[in-house]
Amino acid sequence: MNAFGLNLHTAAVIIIPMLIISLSSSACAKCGENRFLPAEAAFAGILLHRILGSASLPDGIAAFSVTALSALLAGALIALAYIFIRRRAGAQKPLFVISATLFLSVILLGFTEESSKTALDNNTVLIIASALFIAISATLIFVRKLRLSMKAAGESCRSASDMGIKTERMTVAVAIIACAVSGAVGALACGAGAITAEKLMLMILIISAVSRERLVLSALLALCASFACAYIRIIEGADGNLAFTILTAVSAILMPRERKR
Amino acid sequence: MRKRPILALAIIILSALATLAAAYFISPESIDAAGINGLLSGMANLGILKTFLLSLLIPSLLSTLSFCVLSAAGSVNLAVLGEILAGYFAASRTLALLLPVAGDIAAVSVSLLAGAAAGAIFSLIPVIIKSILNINVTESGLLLSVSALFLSRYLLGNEGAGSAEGAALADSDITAICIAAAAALLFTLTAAMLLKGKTGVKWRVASLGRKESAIKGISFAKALFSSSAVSGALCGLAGGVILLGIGNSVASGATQSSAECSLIALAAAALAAFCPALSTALGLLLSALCFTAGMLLSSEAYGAIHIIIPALALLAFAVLNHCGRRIASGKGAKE
Repeated sequence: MNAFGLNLHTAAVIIIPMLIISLSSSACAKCGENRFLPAEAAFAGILLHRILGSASLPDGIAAFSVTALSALLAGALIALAYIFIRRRAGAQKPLFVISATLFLSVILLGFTEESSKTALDNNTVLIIASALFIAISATLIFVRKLRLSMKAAGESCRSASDMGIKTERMTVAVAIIACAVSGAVGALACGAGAITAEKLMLMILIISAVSRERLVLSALLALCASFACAYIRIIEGADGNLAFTILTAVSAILMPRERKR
Repeated sequence: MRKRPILALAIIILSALATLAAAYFISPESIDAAGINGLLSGMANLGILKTFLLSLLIPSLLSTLSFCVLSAAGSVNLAVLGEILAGYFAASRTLALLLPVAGDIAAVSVSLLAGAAAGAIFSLIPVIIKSILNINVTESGLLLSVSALFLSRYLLGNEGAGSAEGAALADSDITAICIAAAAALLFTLTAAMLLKGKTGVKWRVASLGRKESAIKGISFAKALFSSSAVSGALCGLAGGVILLGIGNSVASGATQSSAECSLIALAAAALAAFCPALSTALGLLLSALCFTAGMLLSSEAYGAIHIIIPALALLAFAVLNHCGRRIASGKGAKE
């Protein structure tokens, strides 16, 4: 099926994982956590996919299951480490660690190679990603209490305590789940092979940057951004450096505004 | 608290020694006698020292100081990579224009100034976005930096935009020594301004926040603009020096060199809690370790060490408890 000269089947393989990461980022932002945290977990997932792909694992779905599980665990661990660092250090340090992780990941990618062992066909990726997306969005839309609790935890401790919510526990739980899901989705998107790992990292960074507390708005912005990325990737071919430059610069302007204190 | 920088220094030295030892025992064939002999005979030749100075040490130290400058004003500069690349491009274009019509020293000086100006302009973009749209400076700086990385790939491609004549200029001893001396002078002046000058005091007061700086009669916006411009100019200058160090390079060469310097600077400044003196010492040590590892080891082992050293430094930084509280509480200004 084609639209705007774009094969929607291939585009969906890129767009749906990005929507899941957008929902994770948005959930983190709603809880008052850093919205770049799921992106970091997704970077770890991509790296694990590349590293385990060159390890001596059996081919196919078994190898991918091992990768996905490792990415899930790595995402959860990253969330825990981040929360530990933030409690010890204050607000500035985690952003430092995130940027360092980004640059280190880009450099580390240069030392690993694409492997066919952990690769998955587009249909499998689409089924898994769509199922995940439907499950997450349904939970966020229909479980009103969860949505309100997240909002209360993000806004202030007082409103959360009025509702009988333990703020810290809520934030930690959401961060861990969001990071674990993002880690697995990062590995999944890398496994599809529709886009190079480096460009995938850039897309994830853009999606996290434009995410905000409002879930629907985040999802819409993520849809536009990932559609643009998919368009650039599929129509323009492997290169597209200029188009990605413009897209990144535009996303720097579309980031959410800081709250006035 | 006073012992923490020393502890950080000890950790970084130990981690570097450990990684070197690990590389030796894991792949003993990677360190061959020819490599060591090559290093010893190379050091006798001034050429290797110049390469070290121009492509790694001076840019790393300038970037480290750039981190210290902006952190004094209470912000964090994560657009270092973009500023270095902006400086690299501006310097390369200016050098290519001026070399046919001006003398060597004049062309090099003007191109370095152009690099510094480009870095300053690039660093002001996030500040302008902040003043108009109220978007976080650090986050938009990080995104713009990534944007600059892709733009450099587009512009440089596989042909390179650097100037071969620039590299030839840096090959002459006098030019290299002049550049090193000028960079050292500028570095000392900026560090002195940061530590003792009135501007440094204003920046540290601004780090306390908008209200507090207004009470003390200091314009918060001016302080943020001036510190960002100085920080960006230092990084742009670093880009100009890298151009002279690596010469006519393709995209991978320029971005790799800039990324190396950014990582070293980030690790050094963060570990030293943005103290200019200690950051410089750590930057020196890290640059030397990376360069020595590059000389002694095979390219793969060097690549691994090159990542492991800053990664360990950042890990130590995350576990030690310096930067967040210092920036959040504006400790420098209170002192």
